[in-house]
Amino acid sequence: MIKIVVCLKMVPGKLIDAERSGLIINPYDLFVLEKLAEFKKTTDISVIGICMGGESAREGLVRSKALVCDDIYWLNDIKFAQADTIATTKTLSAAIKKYIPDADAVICGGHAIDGETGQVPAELSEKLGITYFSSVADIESFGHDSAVIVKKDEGSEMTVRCRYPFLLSVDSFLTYASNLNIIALKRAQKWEYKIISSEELGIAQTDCGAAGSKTKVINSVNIIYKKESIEVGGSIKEKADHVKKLLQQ
Amino acid sequence: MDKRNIWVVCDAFDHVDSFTGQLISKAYQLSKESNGCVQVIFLGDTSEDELKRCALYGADEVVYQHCETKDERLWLDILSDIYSSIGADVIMFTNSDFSKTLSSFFASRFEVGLTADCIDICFEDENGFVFERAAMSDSVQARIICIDSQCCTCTVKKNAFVENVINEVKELSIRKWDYKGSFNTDDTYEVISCVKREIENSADLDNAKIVFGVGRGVKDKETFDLICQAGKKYNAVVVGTKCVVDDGLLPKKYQVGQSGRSIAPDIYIAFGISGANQHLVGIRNSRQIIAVNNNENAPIFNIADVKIVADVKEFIKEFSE
Amino acid sequence: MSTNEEMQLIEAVREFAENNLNDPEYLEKFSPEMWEKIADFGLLGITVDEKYGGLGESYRTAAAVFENLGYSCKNNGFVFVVNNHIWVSQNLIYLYGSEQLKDKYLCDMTAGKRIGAICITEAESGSDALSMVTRAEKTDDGYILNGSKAFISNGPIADIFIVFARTGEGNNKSFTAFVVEKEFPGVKIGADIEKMGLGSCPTSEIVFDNCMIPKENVLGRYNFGSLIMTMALEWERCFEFVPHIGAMRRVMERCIEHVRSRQQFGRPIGDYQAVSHKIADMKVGIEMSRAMLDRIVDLKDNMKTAFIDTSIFKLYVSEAYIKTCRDAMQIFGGYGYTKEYDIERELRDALACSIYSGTNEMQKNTIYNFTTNGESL
Repeated sequence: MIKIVVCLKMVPGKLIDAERSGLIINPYDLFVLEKLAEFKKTTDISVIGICMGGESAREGLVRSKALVCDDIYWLNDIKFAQADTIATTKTLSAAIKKYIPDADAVICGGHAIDGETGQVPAELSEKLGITYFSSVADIESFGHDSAVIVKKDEGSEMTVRCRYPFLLSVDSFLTYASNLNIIALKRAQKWEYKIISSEELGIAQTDCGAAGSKTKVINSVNIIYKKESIEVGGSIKEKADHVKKLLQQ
Repeated sequence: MDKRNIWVVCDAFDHVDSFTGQLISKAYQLSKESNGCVQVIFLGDTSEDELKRCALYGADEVVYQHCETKDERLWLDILSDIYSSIGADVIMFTNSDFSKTLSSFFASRFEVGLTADCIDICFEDENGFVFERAAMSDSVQARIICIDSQCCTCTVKKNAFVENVINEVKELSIRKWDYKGSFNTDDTYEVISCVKREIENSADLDNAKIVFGVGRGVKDKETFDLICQAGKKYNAVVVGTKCVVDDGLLPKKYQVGQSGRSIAPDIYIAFGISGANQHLVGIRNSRQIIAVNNNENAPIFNIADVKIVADVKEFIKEFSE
Repeated sequence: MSTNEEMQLIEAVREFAENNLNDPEYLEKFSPEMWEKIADFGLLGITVDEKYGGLGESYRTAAAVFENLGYSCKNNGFVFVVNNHIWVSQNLIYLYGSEQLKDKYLCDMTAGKRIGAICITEAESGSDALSMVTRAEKTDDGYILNGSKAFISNGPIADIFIVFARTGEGNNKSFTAFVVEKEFPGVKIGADIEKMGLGSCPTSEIVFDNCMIPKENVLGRYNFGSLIMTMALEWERCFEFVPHIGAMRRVMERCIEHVRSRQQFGRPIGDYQAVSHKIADMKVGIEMSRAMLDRIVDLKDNMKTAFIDTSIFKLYVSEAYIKTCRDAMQIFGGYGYTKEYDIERELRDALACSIYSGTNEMQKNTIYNFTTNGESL
């Protein structure tokens, strides 16, 4: 049985659809879940989800369970909050080392659509000490001691056989998972989700959350700033001519 | 007080002059503000002349490690070696995929702050080095500092800074590094096949002097085609907002905005673009922005130099005469 | 099921419908792939017990789900196929069938492997259903069925038919409900009938020519088919019409978007009362339908009869649905009359609902008789 860990992040639904409230599974993570759901039909794999998030992550976790996850570790503690990528990495790696130290593969979505730093997968592989593959576009198969992936870099597409253990950063995304089945969804709703606190994880306060972060947002500035603009009046033809003149210069 | 070491990590294999030049120019500016010293860490295989060119943009020192292979883990070890020896206060990387991985490895190993896709960096007395990046969820620009961190690292967005040849004549010292570790790379994987795709030529967009932007206000293919025609006449590249790309009118490499790319042409004409934050972030470095929109209150007019309130379809018909 | 959980279920159904059931190529043509997808999704056994592969949900939840299915899936014909399969075929076996019948057919039906249909109507007996002539003769091992049924929805694609046939001797007008498999000798499926709308629901005549039915395939009790028929009509009148509420919502939203942007005489046409009042009517229709539905699912979840309530519901919803689509076409004007805007298809699909599940005229008879304590149908 091949053990696969999937790192999950829940992001605001309104980033995909303005009408959507609440959190959804990060589309890059959803691609991974859907892919593994397909593999589960023919390959002996065990899928373990890990997610750092508060109560609002529950709905996304229910979906993840319904789709493919055999087990889920829900890192839910106020002490984990406001973590930058370094603190997030330390927390995730502590969880993986403690609960699934024998993982054959760790798969992450390439970036989260709300933060978009795309740093955690590489940082995590460094902390876990396993080989890192970025820009993974697809996974072709999971074998006994290695997997075959397709990597798309600037300029080339490579098919690579990777020996376990490794960490993948996947660059494909999905906003809809067709393997979601309503019966599985109902069962996932009834399931007991293990909530793991920072004590239970055994992580030092200085290694997680805001306390464990190496960067901090000091303030946010709204990007729109006003500029003095010259309004061009007149008929449409006159306006068009004005622009043509500007381009001639 | 010791001078602050401001590093620019330069990759000889992918040495796109203007990108590195942009970073060095910024580092030079920062060095003036913070009493710093600009060091370019050059990895790869290049000539002495190339190294000397760093002086044009304000570098004080180049640390060069000759290296035949481009591998993130190897370069991490080399960089760690140099860092452990001479230290740094700020390290700037480009935001290529390779650099993103390399900087992430580095930040994780040394547990230092890393800010991704910076669009600005400045030095403030109270805060030290402040990094700015755009955060998508609220369409805001966040200002970030490093805390409890031996050095501040970041990856920089292309065209965020302007490449500037300096006025003063600088004495450049070139130091050849002698990495004593192994150059052997990883054998935990095996490449089964490798197909070279056609590299999506982004040169045309980066060097374009005139760019036309297409937004939701361009409602039909006919208007879009007219804009493209006009584009050919003025040698302009046509780009689009996220919805235009999602609708299939343009391929993704021409999406401009936060999740797309930023550009800095001489003239940017926005057709039917309302000015949602994401897109504005991508075009703010344009020298002159002309906006055409039928809604006089469209946010794009807040950053436009020339405001034209008109129906896009009518305008483009006149414009392409 | 908590409200939150129900919301999640509905969200999943909406997403599923939007992504899988709106293929423009199959808007008026049955797609076996679409059927397979909804079967895999697990929706078919929504109120059937888990041991038969179902979801075991309440009628209240099922109603919420189906209203949203009707909203998100604009393929009205396909929704019609699904409804016919579930409420007047599969569920009849589930609710009124013997253990033997349930074991034999239910799992296949909830998994979508076998599609169901109901056969009551004949060429000469529509509203006057009780004058049917299809007959089943008792034999030593079972029954021999002879006759033909007309306008059978799902006919060409169904595997399981719930067939009503005369079994009374002499003057006895009794009839019985049977479960007939397509594979039984003597079952002949007619050609697809081309209809005005609901094109993705295949319809045909079914002929039974000395069709042999095993003894155990009686649904309910021999000669007591009228009970099954009464229940079937009740389920049909309710659940066949629940998705129409969703459809009304969809059509109304299209109208709202249109009246905000379309301008005439310098103003959006939504400013004119002749137009805006039509939309107000649509909203009233939706809310009143929901109020009635609320009462009905309460009764059904408490295992009470809702015979007259469903008749009123059917009558009201069908009239509101047709009016909504007719008004929508008027609002869209010339554009509404074109095929491209798809409003005309919504109207064509809607017009059938005053006919199926008992014509609106028959509903009024039923309601009158009940109200005046006369003999209800």
